[in-house]
Amino acid sequence: MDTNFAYVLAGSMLLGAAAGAVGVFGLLRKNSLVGETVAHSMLPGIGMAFLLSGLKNSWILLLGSVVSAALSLVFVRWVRRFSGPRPDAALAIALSGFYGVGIVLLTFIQNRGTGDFSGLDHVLFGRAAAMLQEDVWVFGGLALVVLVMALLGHRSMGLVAFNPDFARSIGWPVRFYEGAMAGLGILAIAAGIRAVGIVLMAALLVIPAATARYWTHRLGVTLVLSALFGALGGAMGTVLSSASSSMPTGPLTVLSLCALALLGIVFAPERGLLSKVLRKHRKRLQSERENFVKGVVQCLEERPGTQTVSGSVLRSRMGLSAREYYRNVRRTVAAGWILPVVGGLRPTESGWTEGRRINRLHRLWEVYLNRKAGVPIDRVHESAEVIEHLLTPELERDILAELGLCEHYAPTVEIHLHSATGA
Amino acid sequence: MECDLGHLLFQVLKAYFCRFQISRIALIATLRRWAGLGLGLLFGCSPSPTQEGPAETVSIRVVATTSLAADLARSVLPEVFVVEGLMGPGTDPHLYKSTQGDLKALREADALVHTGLQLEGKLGQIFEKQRSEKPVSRLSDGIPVSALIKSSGFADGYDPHFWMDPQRWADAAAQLSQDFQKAYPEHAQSIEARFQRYRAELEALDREVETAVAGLPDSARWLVTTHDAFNYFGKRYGIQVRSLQGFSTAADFGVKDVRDLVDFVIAQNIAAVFVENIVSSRSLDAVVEGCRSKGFILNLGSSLYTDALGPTGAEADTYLKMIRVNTRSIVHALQSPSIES
Amino acid sequence: MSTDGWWVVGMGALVAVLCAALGTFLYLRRLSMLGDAISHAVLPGIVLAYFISGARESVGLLLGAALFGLLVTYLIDWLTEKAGMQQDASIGLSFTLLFSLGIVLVSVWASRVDIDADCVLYGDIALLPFDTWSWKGQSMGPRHFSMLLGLDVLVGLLLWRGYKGMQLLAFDRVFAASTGMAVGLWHWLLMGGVSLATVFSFEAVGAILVVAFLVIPPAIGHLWSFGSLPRMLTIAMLAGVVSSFLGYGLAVWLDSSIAACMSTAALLLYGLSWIIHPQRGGLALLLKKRRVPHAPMMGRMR
Repeated sequence: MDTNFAYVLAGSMLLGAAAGAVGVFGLLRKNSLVGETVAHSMLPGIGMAFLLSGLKNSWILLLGSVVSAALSLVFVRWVRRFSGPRPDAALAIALSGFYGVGIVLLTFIQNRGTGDFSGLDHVLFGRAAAMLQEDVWVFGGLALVVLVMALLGHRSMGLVAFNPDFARSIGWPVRFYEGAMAGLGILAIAAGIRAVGIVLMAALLVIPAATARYWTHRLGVTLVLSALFGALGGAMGTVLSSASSSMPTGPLTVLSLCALALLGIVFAPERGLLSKVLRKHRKRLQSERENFVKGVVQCLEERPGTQTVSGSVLRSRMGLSAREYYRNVRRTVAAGWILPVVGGLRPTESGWTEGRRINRLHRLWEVYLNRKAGVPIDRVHESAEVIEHLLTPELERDILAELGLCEHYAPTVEIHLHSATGA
Repeated sequence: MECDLGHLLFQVLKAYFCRFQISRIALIATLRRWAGLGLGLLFGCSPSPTQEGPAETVSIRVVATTSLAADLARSVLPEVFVVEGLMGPGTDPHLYKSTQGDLKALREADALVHTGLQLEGKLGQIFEKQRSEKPVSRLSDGIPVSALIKSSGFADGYDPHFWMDPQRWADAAAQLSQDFQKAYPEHAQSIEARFQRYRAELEALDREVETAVAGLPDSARWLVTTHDAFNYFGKRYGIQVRSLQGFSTAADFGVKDVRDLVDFVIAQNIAAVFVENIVSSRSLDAVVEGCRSKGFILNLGSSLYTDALGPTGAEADTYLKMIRVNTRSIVHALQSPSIES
Repeated sequence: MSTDGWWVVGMGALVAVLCAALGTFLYLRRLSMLGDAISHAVLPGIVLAYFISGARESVGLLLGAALFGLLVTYLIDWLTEKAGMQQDASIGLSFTLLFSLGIVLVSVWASRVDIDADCVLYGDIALLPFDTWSWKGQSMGPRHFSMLLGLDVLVGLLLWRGYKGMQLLAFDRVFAASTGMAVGLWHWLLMGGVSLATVFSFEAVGAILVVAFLVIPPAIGHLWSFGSLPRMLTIAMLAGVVSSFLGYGLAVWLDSSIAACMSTAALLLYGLSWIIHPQRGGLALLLKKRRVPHAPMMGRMR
C-alpha cells in the first residue's frame, strides 16, 4: 500500500474516531459548533505570537493559537453566565469578537511592513491529503486518550455534561471535569485543524455525533457509534479521493459523513423519517379499522334485534365510497372483527368487544370534555373522534377516576345526541 | 476640570445604582462633556502615518496595489512621483484586507496602478472605477493576449502571474510608462528616459536567467511547487512546471494527487521541490515523505517568492533581486544530483 | 472627519441596523450561528454562477450566493423541524456540506481560478465610498449606501407588517401555531429575509462585520431589554450604530481594517455592558460586596 495513502487513511480514521467521541459531549451541551469558534478565535493568538516572537515558526504560532482559543472558551463560559444560558449566542459572540480582534492585529502587523507573515492563519490550516507520519502518531495518541477517558469515565462525564448542578451537589469536582474536557477538546481541535483544516474538523465534531443520536439513546452506545461513524467517514473520504485526480480528501470525507447521516435520518428505527412515516401510516390504518367496526356496532345497537347490517346502510351512514367500503371490509375481516354474511356484515365476538370499547371511550371522552374542560356539547364530538383511538387502559382508568365513575360505566348514547333530542 | 469631571462621574454612578436620583442638569452637563470629548477625538484625530515623500508640494502621489506593482512604478517613474504600495512585502494579494489608511491614500492619490487579470479581486475593480477621476494604469493591458496563459475554459480565465517572465514585466512597464506619459505630458521625457533604462535592466535580467537555466540538463528542467504560480517563468525559459494544486485559494487536492506527484518526481528523477513564501510547506512535506518511503530522497528547495516581494532590506525587496534569488534557488537545487538509496 | 469617513460610518450604521434587527430574532430563535454558516455555505452558489456566467464580476455571483444562502437556511430548518436533529448540529451539518460541495466543484473544474467568497463576493467597507453611482448626471453617493438603505426599508416594512407574527414566532412557536396564525409563512419570510439581507450585506461590507453585527448588538440589546422585545430591538440597533462610529474611530487610530475595528468596538460595548449592568454587572457586584458591613475583627487593626 502506498505510504501517503496509508498515513492519510490511518490519520483520518483515528481523528474521525476521536473527534466523533469528543463531539458527543459537545452535542449534549449544545456546544457542537465549538470547533468553528475555536478555529476563528485562534487568530488573535497567532498574531500575538508572531508579534512577540517575530518568527513564523509553526510551533510558536500553534502555542499562541491554543492560548487564545482557551481564552475564548473562558469567555464563552463567562458570557453564558452573564447573558443567560444561550449556548449558541455565546459561541457566536466569541467567534466574531475574537476574529475581529485577530484581524485588527493582523492588519497591524501587515502595516508594519516586516513582511513574510501573510496568510499567517493559513499556515495553521492543513489539508487532509497531506497528512504526515507525525500526524498519525498524534491522532493515535489522541484517540487512545479519548478512548480511555470514555471507557473509564463516560458515565461521570455524561452526568457532568447533562446536569452539572446535580453533579456539583453530590460533591463531584465538576470544574475539574469540565476543565479537563475543555482542555482536551482544544488540543484535539487545534491538532485537527493543523492537519485537516477548519471545515473538516468542524464537520467531524458535529456530524458523527448527530448521526449516532438517531440510532440510540444510551450514552455509551452513542459514543461507540459516533467514533465508528467518524472513522468510517474518514476511510470513505480517503478511499474516494484516491480513486481519481483532483478529488479533495477533506471535502469528500465531509460528504461521506453527510451520506452516513442521511442514512441515519431516513432509516434509523424509531427516530428515522421512514420509521415515522410507517408508524403514522399504521396508526391511520388502525384508526380506520376501528372506526369501521365502531360504525357496524353502532348500527346494530340502534336496531336492537338485528344481527346483520347491510352494506348500503353502512355506506350511507359513514359516507364511504364503494372502494373505501370494500377496503375497510377486507381489513376488518383480516383483523377477525367482521364476518361477511348474506345480507351484509356481522361482527364477531372480538368485533363486538372492540366496537363497544371504542364507543365507550368516545362517549367517555365527550363526558370528560364537557364536564371537566367545560367544552360545549356541540364541540366535543370531533375531538372524541380522534381521541377514542388513543386512550390507553391506564388513561381510561384515570379519566374514570377523575369523573368519579365506576368502571362499569357504559353510556349507551353519545352525549351530543342527547342535546339534539332535547333529553 | 479633572476634579469636576471625576466628581460628576462619581455622582452619576452613585445615582445610577441608587435608581436615578441625580439632578437632570448635572447629568446633561456630564453627557455634553463626554460627547464633546468623543467628537473631539473623532475630528481631531491625527491622520495615520503614510509613506510621505519629499516635502515639496509638486510631488505626485501614486498608489499601487501589490508590492510588485509599487516596485515597478518606482523603477519606471522619476522621483517627482511618490509611490506608495497598499500591500506591504510578503502580503498575499488574495488575503489582503484594506485599512482605513488605504481609504485615505486612495482618495488623496493622484494616480493609481494595479496589476489586472483580477489578481486583486474587488480592490482592482474599485481601482478601475476611478478611471473617470484620475489616471489609472492597469499593467496587464500591456501584455498581448496571445502571450497570456489561459487558466480555465472560461472567458476571463487568465493566469495572472505574468511578472514571473521579465519580458512580460517589460511589457507591463511599457504600459505603465505609456499611461503616465499620456496623463502627465510635462514629465513625458523623464518617464521615457527612466523607462528605457529599466527596460535595459529587465533585458539584462532576462539574458542572465536564460544563461543560468541553460546550464540545466533537459532532464532536470522540472519545477514543482505548491501553487501553480510559475507558468509564465516556465514558458519563457523552457522549464516544465507542475504543482500539487492550482493557485486558487479555495482549491484542494486529494490523496491520488499526492501519490501521482510522488510517482512523477521519482520517475523524472527530480532533485528538489519548492515552497513559496506565502504558503505553508505541509503539502510538499507529504510528497517528501512519500518519496522517502519509496527510497527516493527529495530535497525541499529554498522558499521561492511569487506574489509578493520579500521584506525591505532583505534579499528580495525589488523585482530584479526577487527574480535573481528565485533563479539562483531553482538552479542550485535542481543541479544537485539526487541520491537514490 | 472626511466625507469618505461619514459615508463609511453611515453604511456601517445601515448594516448595523439591518443586522441588529434581524439578528434579534435569530438570537431569540437560538440561530446566532446562522450568519457564520451562510458565509461558508455560499461557496457552491458562487462557483455554479461562475460556471454559468463565465465571469467573476457578474451579478450572477450575487444571485448564486443568495440562492445558496436561502438553501442553507431552509436546509437547517428542515433538519431541525422535520428530521428531528438538534439545531446546532443542523447548522454544523448544513454549512460543512455545502462548503465541501463548493470545494469539490472548484478543485475539479476551476482549480486555477480564484473563486472563493473572500475574493469575489465579500466587499470591504473601506472601498465602498469609491463605488459611486449617478442619476441623471447627479452623483448619488456610494452605490451600496442606496442599496443598504433600500434593504433597511424593506426589512423595516417586513417587521412592521409582521411584527405580531414575528414576536410570537420568536418566543413560542407552538402557541403561535395553535392560534391559527400562518406560522409557516412568517417563518419562511423571516428566514428568507435574513439570508438575503446577510448575503447582500456580505457583498457590501464583507463577512466579518455582518456576522459580528448579527450577533453582538442583539446580545447587548437582550441585556438591557428587561423583558421587552421593542426595547431589545431598539437597543440592539443603537448598539450597532454606536459600534459603527466607535469602530471607525478605532480604525483611524490604529490604521486598521475598518470592518474588524467595528466588530471589535461591538465586543468592547458588550464588555462595557457587563461592567455597568445594574443587576449582574461587574461594577454592581463590586459595589454590592462593599456595601455589606464587615463584622468588627477582634484584635485586628481596621
